[in-house]
Amino acid sequence: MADRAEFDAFVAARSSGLLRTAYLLTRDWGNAEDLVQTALAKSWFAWRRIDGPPEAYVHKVMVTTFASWWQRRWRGEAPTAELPDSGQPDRTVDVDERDELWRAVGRLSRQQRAVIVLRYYEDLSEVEIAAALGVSAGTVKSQASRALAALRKHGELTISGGDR
Amino acid sequence: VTALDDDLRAMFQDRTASPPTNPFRGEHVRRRIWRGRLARTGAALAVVTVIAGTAALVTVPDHTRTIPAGPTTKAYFDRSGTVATAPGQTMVGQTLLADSGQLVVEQATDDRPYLLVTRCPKPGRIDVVGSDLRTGGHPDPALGSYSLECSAPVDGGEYEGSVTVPAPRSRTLFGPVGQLVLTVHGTGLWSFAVLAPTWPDWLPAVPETAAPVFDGRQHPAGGTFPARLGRDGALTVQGQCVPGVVLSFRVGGTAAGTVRCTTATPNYGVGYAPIGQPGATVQVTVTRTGRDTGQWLVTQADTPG
Repeated sequence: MADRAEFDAFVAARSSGLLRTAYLLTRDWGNAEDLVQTALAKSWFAWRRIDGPPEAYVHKVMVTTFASWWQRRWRGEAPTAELPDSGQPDRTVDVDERDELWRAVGRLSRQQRAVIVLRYYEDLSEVEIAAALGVSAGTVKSQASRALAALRKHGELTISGGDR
Repeated sequence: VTALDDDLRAMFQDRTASPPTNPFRGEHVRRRIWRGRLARTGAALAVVTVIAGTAALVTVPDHTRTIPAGPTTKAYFDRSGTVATAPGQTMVGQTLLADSGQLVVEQATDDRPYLLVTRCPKPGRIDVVGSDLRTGGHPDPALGSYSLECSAPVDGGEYEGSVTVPAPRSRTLFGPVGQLVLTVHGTGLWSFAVLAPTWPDWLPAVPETAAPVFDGRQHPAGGTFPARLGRDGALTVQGQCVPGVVLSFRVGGTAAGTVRCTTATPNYGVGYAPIGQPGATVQVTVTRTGRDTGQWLVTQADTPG
């Protein structure tokens, strides 16, 4: 039993990880915090009905909320040639390349960005990403392909090599 | 794997290496949950724009929901140990424990009596001590300490017990981020729950973000309060009340609008008419008629001048 205690323990243990993913989606720590809290609160109302690990469910809520926010709250936002960089400074030597890649990811569509984040940050499979986004695995595959093509195309990105 | 794959992974790791910390995230999530519960409870939230002169009132469909039917027996729990609420009663926290444990109780920022109930396989006692999560969650008898004797026989050959936490001591015990520390003096698996009065007899707890500008729980008959005009010079207030309550608003002695709270058709008033300078403060008088209760309040939306 103790749903509440279980939920609180989940929030304490996993919300920092969720925040990181939310930041990669929203590109702003404030919006990320808002997104995480919204997703967790929504998930609570279904907590008892969640079948399986709750993290997958919370992920799904977070990603779908992110998509709905785009329509409802961030309608005015549009990709620009010079995205403001609200993130922290890179600590790597190749700052310019990483910044360029970060901006390029920001130019992707919301769904493409979500696919890329879930694939390369969360290391989810196509099937898992499809479940999180509520789309087919085929859609995930095509979105990922288009996203990667866009990222490769963008300024050539000093990407070395191709598929190995 | 491509170099791009590697670059993406490395960049994502770099970007998320130092996230900001938020020690109050759990508390903030609880507030959001409470606000969601408030909305789902369906309090008769009626909005009336107070207009000097004429008030354009329209009625919108009812958003009020009734809570599920309550138990048919005197027992607070069913045989599975799940608490069952009666009409006008809600469960704000429940847990199972064998010896000791904690129970986080959703915010109880208003003064209402709470009922602590327990069920046990054999007669015994459970001690309940308050704690504040913001200061470590350690048991603090100064916040409140109660003992429940679990000794009343109920169906299933088990036993139950209860104790009331009267208002306003409940505020100390539960709010704003309450956690109860529970210790069982007995054997077997115990059920414990916290029940609270709710709709349609009590308003749901009000989140801090919606602090009333006038609170019927302190002034059941009504009174006068200052309210701020919006940037268009109009005034918008929200009346929230249990069924049967009628709230009448007046500005400068002129009838300005009425909220009638019913379970079927709460009123929803809309309309805009400047009554003063944007940002100015006016005195609004609200009078409660109908049901004799203090379970009503008035809030005001953000109206920057």
